[in-house]
Amino acid sequence: MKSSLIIFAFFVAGILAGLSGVIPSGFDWDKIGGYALYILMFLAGSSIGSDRNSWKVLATHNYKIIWVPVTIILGTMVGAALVSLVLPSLTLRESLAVGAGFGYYSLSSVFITQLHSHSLGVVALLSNIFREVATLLITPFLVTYFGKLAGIASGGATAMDTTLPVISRYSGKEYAIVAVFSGIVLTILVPFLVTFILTI
Amino acid sequence: MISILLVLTTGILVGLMTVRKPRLHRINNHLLNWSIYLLLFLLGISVGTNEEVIRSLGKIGYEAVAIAIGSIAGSVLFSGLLYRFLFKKK
Repeated sequence: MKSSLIIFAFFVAGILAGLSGVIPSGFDWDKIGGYALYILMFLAGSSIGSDRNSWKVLATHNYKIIWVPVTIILGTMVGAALVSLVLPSLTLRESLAVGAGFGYYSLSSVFITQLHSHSLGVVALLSNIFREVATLLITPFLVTYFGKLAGIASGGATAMDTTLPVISRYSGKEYAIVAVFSGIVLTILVPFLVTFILTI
Repeated sequence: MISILLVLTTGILVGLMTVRKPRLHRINNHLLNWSIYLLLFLLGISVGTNEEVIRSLGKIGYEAVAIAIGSIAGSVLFSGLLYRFLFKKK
């Protein structure tokens, strides 16, 4: 929660800087952002690879747990696809790409900005922040009506860190492990899925 | 965009090779946070200097909320079925 506020503050500061006209006109975001993205990808990759939990959880749990992220991916894609039917301004591809952020707003928004457009990047940022915040707020309700996997599903990639405390509190500690596993799988898949959806 | 995925995969491999170096992880996490801040700041600048995006900010917010609600509803409903059939103790 705190980290999403900080990130959002940086984003808003950027908008204000852009609006105020202090940015020189020769500023080429795509070029600078492109290089910065490579650095980010490398750092994100090594942070995933060096986290022992990523691999331990995979090795020690039985097959059932695999179905959790698979189900979340399918459900998210179906839900996002339906939204593109309701909102004619969004194409199926755009809606799926934003949904495939699974709450991982920082990476997905940067990716979508580079691969598609600035405006869809902003949609991805806001939409995925909203997914995280909504999960923090409604997990108790979701768990009551849709079972103990509901908070994990709603949290998506954030189930491994920011929304883990609330999931563990309302679904129980034994589901915290499931949450971490599902969150890690989704986090790793975000860049691959977003790229896949936007380039096929 | 294959190059980006290659960089990501290289990062994962480097991470795997440095599993036993906790100090490196701390530095890495700091760098990761700051590169995310930097990128979002840059994204903000590009939004602020892009009249078209500024003009359609209302529409953007509306779409963002709609996709989030769709994604949450879809994944929660699917997970409810999975829970009933595979996880719930009878």
